[in-house]
Amino acid sequence: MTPEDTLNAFFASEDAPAHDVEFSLAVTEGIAKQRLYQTLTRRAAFAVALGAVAWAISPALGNLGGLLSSPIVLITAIVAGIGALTPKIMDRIPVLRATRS
Amino acid sequence: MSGGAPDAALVRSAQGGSDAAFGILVNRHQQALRGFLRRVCRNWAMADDIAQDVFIAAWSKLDQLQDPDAFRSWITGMAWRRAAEIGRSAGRRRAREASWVEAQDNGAPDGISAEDNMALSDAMAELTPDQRACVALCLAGSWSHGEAAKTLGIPVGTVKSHIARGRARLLEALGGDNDA
Repeated sequence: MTPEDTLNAFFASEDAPAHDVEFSLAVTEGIAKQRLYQTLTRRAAFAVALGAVAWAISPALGNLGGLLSSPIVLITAIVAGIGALTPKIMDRIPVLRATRS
Repeated sequence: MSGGAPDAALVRSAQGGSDAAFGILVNRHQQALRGFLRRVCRNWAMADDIAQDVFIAAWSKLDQLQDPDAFRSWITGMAWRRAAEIGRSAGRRRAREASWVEAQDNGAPDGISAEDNMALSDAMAELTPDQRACVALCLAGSWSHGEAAKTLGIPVGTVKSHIARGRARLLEALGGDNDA
């Protein structure tokens, strides 16, 4: 065996398997998590923007102004927003579990 | 989407939202990318973690890939920058130690004596990161000098020089002819 052959055998020994289901699944799981994170980030930003708009226009809403400018209304709106998002979040959890199985 | 489709077609499909197309790209390139990272990092577990992170980052940034034919170079370039960043923080001594531990854990591969395997592992760890990357791409991976230069962001002449010196150092470790 020449030194070149030994070198080639050494390099070949460091190769990963040509097909590696475990590695592919780990990448798929990572992508699913990334996608969920992006979705939640977008929705959170939307909820915050919606809350800010509601707060900004509340003084212009005449006789409802007193009620809407109350901090309790803002908190209620945020809680309602989270509540509205919860089913969507729950929908995503089986997807994540499916990629792990 | 067929598994035999060219990279460019798969990249365009993946950019259009096809997870299946991206999955084929991962399956097609994981072996080469992990091999490159294992040779550069000298630590298989770390290399596989980086490869996984790189594929996930590639999925996130796929819209930024201007030339769909260049997927292989693109992910390898990302992997190289990530590995270099980690290598700088880990330090050379730790990389050498990891290399020895890996060599001992994995045992000697078929056709190589344990002594040669250890000598080559140590010699690879002794190369500079740039030399290791050039050796990994062009000697172990059969990349062209031009593609390696573009991917690693160094001149072609430097790639050739790194390969010659790296090859000489590895052959020297085997006690053989070290003429580059």
